Amino acid sequence: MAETFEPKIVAFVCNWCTYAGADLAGTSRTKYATNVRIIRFPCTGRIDFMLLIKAFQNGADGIIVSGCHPNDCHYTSGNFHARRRWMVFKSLLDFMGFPTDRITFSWVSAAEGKKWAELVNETTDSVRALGPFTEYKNLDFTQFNQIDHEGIAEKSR
Amino acid sequence: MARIGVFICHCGENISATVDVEKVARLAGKLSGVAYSVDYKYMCSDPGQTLIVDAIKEHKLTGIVVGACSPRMHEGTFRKAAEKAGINPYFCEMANIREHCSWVHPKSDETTRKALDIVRTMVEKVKNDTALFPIKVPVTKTALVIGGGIAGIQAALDIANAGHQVIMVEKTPSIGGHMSQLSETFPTLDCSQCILTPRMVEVAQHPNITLHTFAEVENVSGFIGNFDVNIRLKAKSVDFSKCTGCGSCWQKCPAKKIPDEFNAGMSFRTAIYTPFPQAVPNKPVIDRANCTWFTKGGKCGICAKICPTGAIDYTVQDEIINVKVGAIVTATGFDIKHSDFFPEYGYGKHPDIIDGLQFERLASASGPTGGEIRRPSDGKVPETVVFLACAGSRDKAKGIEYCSKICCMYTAKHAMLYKHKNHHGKAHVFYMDIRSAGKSYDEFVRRAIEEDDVNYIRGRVSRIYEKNGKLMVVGVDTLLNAKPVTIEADMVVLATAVIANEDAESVAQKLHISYDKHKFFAEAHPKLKPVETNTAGITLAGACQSAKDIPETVAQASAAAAKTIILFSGSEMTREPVVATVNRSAAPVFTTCTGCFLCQEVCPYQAIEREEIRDRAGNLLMNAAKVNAGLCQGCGTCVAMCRNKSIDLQGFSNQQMLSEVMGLLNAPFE
Amino acid sequence: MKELQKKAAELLENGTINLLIGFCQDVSKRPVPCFIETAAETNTLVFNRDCKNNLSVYLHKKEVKDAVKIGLVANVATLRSVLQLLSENQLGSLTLTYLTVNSAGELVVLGSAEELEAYVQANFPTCRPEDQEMLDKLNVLSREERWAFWKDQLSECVKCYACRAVCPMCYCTVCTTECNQPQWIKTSAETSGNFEYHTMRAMHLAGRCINCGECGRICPAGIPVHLLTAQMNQEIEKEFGGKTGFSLKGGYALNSFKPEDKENFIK
Repeated sequence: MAETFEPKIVAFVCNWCTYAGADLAGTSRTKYATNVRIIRFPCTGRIDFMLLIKAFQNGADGIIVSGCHPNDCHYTSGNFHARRRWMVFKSLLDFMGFPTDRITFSWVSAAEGKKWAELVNETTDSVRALGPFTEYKNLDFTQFNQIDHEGIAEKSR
Repeated sequence: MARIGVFICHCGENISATVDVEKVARLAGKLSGVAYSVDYKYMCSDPGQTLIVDAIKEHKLTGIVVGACSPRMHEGTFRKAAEKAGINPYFCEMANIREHCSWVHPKSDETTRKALDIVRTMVEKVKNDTALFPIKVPVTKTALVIGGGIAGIQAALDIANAGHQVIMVEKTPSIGGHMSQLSETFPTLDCSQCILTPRMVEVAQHPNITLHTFAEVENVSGFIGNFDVNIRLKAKSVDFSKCTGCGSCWQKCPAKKIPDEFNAGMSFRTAIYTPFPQAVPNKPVIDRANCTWFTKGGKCGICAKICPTGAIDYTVQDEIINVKVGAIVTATGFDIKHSDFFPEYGYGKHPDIIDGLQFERLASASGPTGGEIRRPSDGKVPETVVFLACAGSRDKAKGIEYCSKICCMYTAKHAMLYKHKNHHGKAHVFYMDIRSAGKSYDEFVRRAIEEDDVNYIRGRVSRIYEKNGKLMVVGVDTLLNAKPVTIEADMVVLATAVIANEDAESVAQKLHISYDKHKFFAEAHPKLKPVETNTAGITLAGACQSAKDIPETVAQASAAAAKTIILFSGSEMTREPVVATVNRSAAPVFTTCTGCFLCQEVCPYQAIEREEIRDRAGNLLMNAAKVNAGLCQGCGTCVAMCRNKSIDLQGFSNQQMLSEVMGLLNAPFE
Repeated sequence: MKELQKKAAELLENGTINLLIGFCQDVSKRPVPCFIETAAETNTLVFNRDCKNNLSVYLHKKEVKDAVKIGLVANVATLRSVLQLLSENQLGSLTLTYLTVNSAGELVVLGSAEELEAYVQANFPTCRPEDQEMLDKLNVLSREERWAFWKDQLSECVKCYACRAVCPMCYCTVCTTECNQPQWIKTSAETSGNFEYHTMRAMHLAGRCINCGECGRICPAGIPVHLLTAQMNQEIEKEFGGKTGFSLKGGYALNSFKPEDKENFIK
């Protein structure tokens, strides 16, 4: 009997908004997919982009990054800095061909318990459809001497 | 070598109903570094905490993980227990297996596995915890009260009477708020101004209260115990030190056609004005947007000529003052919906269709009709008045799904006042439900129905239109088998929704407090922290948090004052030590910080300073960043910004966060 | 050339500079960096299109810092690096004089930071055409093709860190790669660790790199790492405005923000 693939989703959230929103989903007994595990940060400004890479490397299939809406950051500006960081990071990952559709960024406030549940469900569904992130897990088994498309590396020296 | 204790709570059945807590405790006991693991029914109870304290001592535990509710609930409780047992409280972490697991998932192996994952993540974090010690910070024992309505007044008086300084800021020219506009208040029908004005005078005369009217908060920085606030004192154009309040100026002012805000737009006022006769302070200000001198380049100037003390000054500008306060009480109040929310009701189309505040002004002895209920259109006394309750609230389709709380009561009151003044008049109330849950409230409504002969019809109104000089109110009586009812009215009063002030969002953003989608300010916890916000040091009082009546507002204001007084009760405040630090080591390295100061530029609290590192001869070796622990609030933006990881956040350090991620994803067993 | 040598000698003799960093020809006629302390040695100086090294990387060395008064023979890319470093508070203890050759072939001497800024802004280069061509080619590939390309390339990386060594912006005394508590970057040369390293490096340089291209040029495995930062800089300029190595005031995109910043992917 084949086991259906269940994605592992890691969520990096800020304490004041999204974590509280997830708590509210709990107190309201809103049911959502079991695939997500939350890691608590004081602010989205604290989330280092390397943690996302580390998470994918260690088995995460999808990631959620979520914090307070712009202008509502408990520490005033942490989420603004985070927003810029994500814009740059996402464009780097896109350029490197990394599947950024496995990362969901969002703003979920402490009053949005329902939005949190919907976000988890949507992300779980979309990552399940993308399948396990084997191409990242198998990165270290790359064969050498692949063809350089368009000879870009050669010409760039 | 870490010896971690894991304590899994059943939380009665809240967790154990969907999570196999015994299995989680058993498997957690096998994790590397865990020396003791147990489950128990109620960890937060006295016996539960004793269990933890005893276990720490008996098994010589170096840190604990409590798998239970959200840390936002009980982190403090368990940290105190850890401290009692003799270990640093910051070696205690909570694994949220209730709000984030047992309550949101069905009973299954998957749910149990998730609970174990969460516990394992926190075990990894605790293994990397360091001992942290509270930071002591001095507290400025002055409170700022924003808003001069009954909420602000009550809070200010309580704090001032406790012996502390209070600065009150009110944006209109007088304190009093909406309560000063009311005629009589439910359930006693006392005169609103009579009970309010003594309090207003007390505020003005209190030695501990500094009152700034016609002023607004410009910006707020700092943090609990040490807020730095800039207040804009808008230019009054009248020198209050010279003005005697004689009133000659507004009696002679030629700009007489400005809609009077205090009378809800039903009469006019002058450009130089006091809002109402009992205003505090009872000195006028000039409304520059409507004053001839300001709008027509210096023409007029009558008030300046007439003033016996020469108190008028057209040249004065807004002034910004800076104050240092330790706590802020937000009492900015509410508004009611004025727009034609229900086009079918014709509000705004016909002058005799009015809202609740407008009716208050008609009923008020100091109002535009001297207390007589008269139609705004022709001044005649209406023979039939129809009151519509729920004209805008409890309607998801219109975007206001909440109940405005006060309308059932004030509608009954309005109907009663109308009947008291017009014994032969007819009063009808269309209602959905009657919400009169307070003390003596239901008796009040019964009095309206039984003694004052107000006709209550259970049903909604679909349309109001004019015909032959009458307002046809078309509704339904659901208690008579949905019989259609049309009443020919002379006046209609709509109980429109209580909404947040137009500038509520900008006030919240200035204070860095949260608000909901209706722009009501968010309390820290809906049941257990109804007056605090998530921003430490800022409390809420009154209708800015949610619609409420006067007794509740006064109670909440006193509660906010109590929270403030608690803060001021010690000589200094103990702060959570979750702060950033920049590494330092011995010469010749001193620090790995390269002095790029990106951290300093992103810190919202200006908590990062430049330190000059010098050798023994005094030569400057390098500039490095240094954190002022008293100012740092622990957001960690600097940590994520630092390229070479020279700055780290205690309590959420790089080592801890990475080990959480690794611990979560690398399960030793399935 | 002669003019450059004469000027360098003059500056050393009259004490304006204690140390000149420039290019000399080595035995194989290839220009290599050299450090000249006396006027007599200045007759070995050369400056031509083959002088590609970004000499500003030496400004972090202790021996150079001790000399305090430094002369730097530089092309525009190097001058931009210095401007960027100045805006990051890194060269505070040094007094720098710059010797460069403009597009008309004339020697230009810049004696102060303000003169440097003015010259750089007047002669600001565009993206190198060879880089732009490669970026355009990469950007039209599908995501899977780009992933395959970078996976191939990064699998060849041996973690020699030459790219880091040659970059003037990599001045951290202890790099994150040297951090072992926690160990952010795997030290061994496996593709996943290489991916970590290059992602981290590109992020740390995004908005700071001045696109001299040295990192890609000297990579012994032939990986075009400079394309990563070139792409980032173009994105940042497009999204947030501002150019790297353009002014003394800096304006690093990642530590500032505008409340109106717009993106289309945050839910």
